[in-house]
Amino acid sequence: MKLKVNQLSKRFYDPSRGEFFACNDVSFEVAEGEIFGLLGPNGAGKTTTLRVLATILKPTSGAAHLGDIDIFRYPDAARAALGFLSSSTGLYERLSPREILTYFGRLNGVTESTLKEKIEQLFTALEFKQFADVRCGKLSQGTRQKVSIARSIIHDPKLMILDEPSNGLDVVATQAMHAFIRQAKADGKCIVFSTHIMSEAEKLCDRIGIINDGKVLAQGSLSELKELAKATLLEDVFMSLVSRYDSAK
Amino acid sequence: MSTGAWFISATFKNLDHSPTSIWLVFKAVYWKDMLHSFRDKDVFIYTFVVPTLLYPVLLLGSAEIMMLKADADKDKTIKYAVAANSINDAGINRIDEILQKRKHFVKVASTSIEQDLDSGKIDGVLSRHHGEFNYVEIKVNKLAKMASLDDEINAETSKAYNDDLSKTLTARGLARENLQGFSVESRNLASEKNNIQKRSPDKNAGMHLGKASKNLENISATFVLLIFSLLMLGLGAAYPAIAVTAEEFERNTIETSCLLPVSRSLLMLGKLFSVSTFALLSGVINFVSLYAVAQMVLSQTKLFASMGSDPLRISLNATQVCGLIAGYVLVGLLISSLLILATSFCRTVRSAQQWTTFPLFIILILPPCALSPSLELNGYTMWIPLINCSLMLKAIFNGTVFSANFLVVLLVTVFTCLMSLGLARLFLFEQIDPGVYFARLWDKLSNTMKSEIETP
Repeated sequence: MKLKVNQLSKRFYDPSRGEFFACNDVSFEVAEGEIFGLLGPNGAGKTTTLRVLATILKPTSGAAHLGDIDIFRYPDAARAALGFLSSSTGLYERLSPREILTYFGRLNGVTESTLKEKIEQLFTALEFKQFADVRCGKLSQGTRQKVSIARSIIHDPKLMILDEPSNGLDVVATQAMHAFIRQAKADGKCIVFSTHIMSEAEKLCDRIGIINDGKVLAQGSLSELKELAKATLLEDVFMSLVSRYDSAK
Repeated sequence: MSTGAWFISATFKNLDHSPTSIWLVFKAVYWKDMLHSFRDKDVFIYTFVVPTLLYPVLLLGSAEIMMLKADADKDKTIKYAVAANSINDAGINRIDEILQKRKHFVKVASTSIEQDLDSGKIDGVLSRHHGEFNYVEIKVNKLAKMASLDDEINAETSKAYNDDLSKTLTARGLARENLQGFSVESRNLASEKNNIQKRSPDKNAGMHLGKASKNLENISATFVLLIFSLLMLGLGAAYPAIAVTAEEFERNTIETSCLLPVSRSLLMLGKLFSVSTFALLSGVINFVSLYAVAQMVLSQTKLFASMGSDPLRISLNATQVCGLIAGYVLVGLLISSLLILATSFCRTVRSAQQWTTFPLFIILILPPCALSPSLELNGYTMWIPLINCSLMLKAIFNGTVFSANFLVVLLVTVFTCLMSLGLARLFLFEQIDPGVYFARLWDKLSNTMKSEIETP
C-alpha cells in the first residue's frame, strides 16, 4: 500500500497567537517498504502532520490516501491499516502487557484464535516475555517502549507512523528501536518517521522531507538533498534550506 | 441536532452493524475499564471501603452517643407540673398518677409555670392541647434534661397500661398472650394516591402524647437509608470517572483509544457502564451496610421504641422491588454520565479531583430533596433530572407501581445521559478544549464587531 499525502494543512487557535497553521500544504508520498523521514526542529509541525495522518486530529484541509482508502473520509478503515507509535504515547499503568495487547488486538479485529499466538510471538520477538504479566507502571522505560511497539503492530498494519520513537531511550533501547524499524521495512511496510536527530534520519531513511514552520522545504533521497543544498553533511543541508526559507520570508 | 441525537447517530455510523461485533467491542472496553479502575487504590477506597464504613460508623457513633446520654439521663430527677387549666382532666390525672409512682419523676407545685419553665426550675408541664387533635402534651424548656421527655412518659404510661391490662386479664382467668393486637394503618395524605403503609400489630399500644401528625408522614426509615445510599453513588462513581477520562489524558492513553478502528460512542458506552458498575456497587454496599448497622442499633436499644416495634420493616411486592432496582440503576447511570462529563475536559487527575467537587456537591444535595414529605413526583418535578429519579423511587416505595410520570422520568434521564456522553465524547476524542473554543469564538466575534465599526 502506498501513502499519498496531498496539501495537508492543520490550523490551530491559541489565545496569545490567534489562529496559526501547524502544518501548511504538506505533500509527500511513501512507497511500500520505504522509510520516509520528516526531519525538522522542535515545533516544526512534524508531530501535528503525523497525528493528522494517524486520524487523531482532523485536518483543516488536504487529503491523504493509503492505497485505495481515503484516510479522512473513512478513518475507521484507515485506523485498521495503520500503526502509530510515539515516545509520548502512554500505557495503562495498572494493566499488564498481556492484558494491553489482548485489548488492542481484539479491538483491532484480530481473531481470538490467532490472538494468543500473535501475542506470544511479539513477546519473543521483542524480548520481554518475562514481563508479560507485570503491570506496566512497574516496567522500565525501554520495556514500556517495547510494549508500545507491540501494541502498534499487533494488527499487522500496512502503514507505520513513528513520531520521534527513540526520544528518551538509552543506547540499547534505541538500537532495538532501529532494528524494529528496519524489520518493518523488510516486511514491506510503508513507514513515515519523524525525528530531529540528523544521524538517525541519515541512518534509517530512504527519503527525507525537511520541515520547518509547518512547511516541507524540500524532499528527496539523502544524495538528492545534498545536491540541492550543495552540502556534504545532512546538518549543513538542513541549515542551508532553513536559512533560504527564512530569508525568502 | 441535539447532542443526544448526534451521539446515537454517531454510535451507528461507520460501525459494523453485526450485534456480535458491537457486543464484543463493548465487552472488551467495559472489562478493560473495569480492570484498570478496580486496581486503582483511590477507587478501592472510595468505592468499597468508605461506603462499607463511613455512614455505618457515623450511625453507630451517633447511636452510641445517644445511648450514653440516655444512660446518664436515666437516673436524673425530672420535675414536672400540671397546668392550672388541666387539673380536672381525667387523662392527665391518670398520667400524673402513673408518673408519681416512678422514682425519678417528681411533681412540683408551681404558681408561675412559664417563668419556672424558662428558669429551669421545672423540666416539663403537662397540659391538654385543644385543636384539630386533642391530645396530652408536655411543654419542655430548652434546657430539658432529657432529649425526648414525651417518649419517656409514653413508655411509662404504656408500661402501666400493659401491667394493668395483664392484671385484669389474669383476674378473669385470661392470658395476656391470647390477646390479639390490632393493626394500625397510616394513610399518606400528601400523596396523590392513597398509599397505605401497613404496620405490624403494636402490642405496646397505650396512651400517646404529642404524636398526632406522625402517621401522616410518607417517609419510612428504610427509604431514608435508600436515599443516603444514593449519595454514595456519586462518591463511588467519582474516581472511576476520573480514571476513564482525565487519567487517560494525563498518561496519554487517550491517543491509543483514538487510534482504534471502532465507534468512539461505543468506547464511551463502555466507559459509562464500567463507571456505573462501580457507582452501583458502592451504593448497594452502603445500603446493605447501613441497613445492617441500623438493624443492630435498633435491636439493642430501647432508645427508638417510639418509632414502632420494627421501623426498618418494609412490605414491598415483586413489582415494587423491580421498579426500585430499575430506578436505582437509572440514578447510577445518570450520576456516572454527569461525572464522566465533568471530568472529561480535565487534562490531569489533580485538576479533575478539584473540579469534581462542585458537580459532586450538586449530586449529593439533590436526592435528599425526596425526603421532604411535601415533595412528590408531579408535572413539574418530573422534568428535573436526579430529583425526578429520587421522587420516582419514593413513589414506588410508597406503593405506586406505574405512573405516566415514570415514562417522562425515564426519557429525561436517558436524554440527560446521552447529552452528557455526547459532550464528553467531544472533549475526549475530538479533543475540544472548551476554554480555547470559547476564546476563539470571542476572538471571532470581537473581530467581526471591529471590522463592522471600521467599515465606512
